[in-house]
Amino acid sequence: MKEGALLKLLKNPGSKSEGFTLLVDLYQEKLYWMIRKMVLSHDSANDVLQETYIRIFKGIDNFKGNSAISTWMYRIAYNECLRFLSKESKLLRVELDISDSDYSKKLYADSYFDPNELSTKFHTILSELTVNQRNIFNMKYFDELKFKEISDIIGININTIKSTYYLVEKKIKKEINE
Amino acid sequence: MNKHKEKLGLKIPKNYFTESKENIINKYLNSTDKNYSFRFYQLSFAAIFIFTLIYFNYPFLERESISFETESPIISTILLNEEITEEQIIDFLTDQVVSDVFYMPK
Repeated sequence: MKEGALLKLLKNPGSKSEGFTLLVDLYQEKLYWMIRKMVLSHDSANDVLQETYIRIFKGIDNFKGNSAISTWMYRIAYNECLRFLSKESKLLRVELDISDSDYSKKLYADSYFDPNELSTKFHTILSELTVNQRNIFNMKYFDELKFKEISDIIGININTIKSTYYLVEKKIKKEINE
Repeated sequence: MNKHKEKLGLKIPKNYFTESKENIINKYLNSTDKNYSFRFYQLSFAAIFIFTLIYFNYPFLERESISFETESPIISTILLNEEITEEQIIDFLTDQVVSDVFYMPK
């Protein structure tokens, strides 16, 4: 379905429910995986996903269409993750330019984490990256978002996003092939 | 999304996305119901408040009770839809004067 038609459904009170169900169908899985890689545990990701959809529903009337609806939804999910992480770490805001010292602890505490040789290598590298570097890499490599979309979601200049991604990609390729 | 399992070892519970979708939709439907009932209560409260405000602040809406002296020939003729005669008026006024003048306190 085209975005214009979807927006029409969402803006019309008579078809809003139908539009919202479509939003869940189309983006639930994508949003979940983006959230899961940020918060790491399945239960937390589930909570954040539900909260994200509540915010999407509440804000849909104010959506002006300045970006794609998917970008707008990813941005809400990203902000909801940061809110969750700051609450979890009892900090006012998440430090994005340092690595997460609890990364491995959170990951291995999750009952839905099933490590293998490749994933252990991946996570070892990811745990050493800053939060921003990790998010940029995950959004491009796993979520297959465009650089422009990532820039709009996390609010960082597109050239910085590109250089960060290529740097991390090079490092990961090197370390995994070793 | 198999690469999340293969490359990152991240798993999800069986039928997770189906159940999660139901939960999200239910939350959405509940919130719309709450919105409608909340609006209904808001509007009812506002209507009662406005009515009360008007009722207590505009004295012209109050009904004044007017008492008539039904013995008065003018009033009684109006009430009974009869024609008033000069004789009746004179009789009434004379009675009034007499009762005022010869009023004897106990």
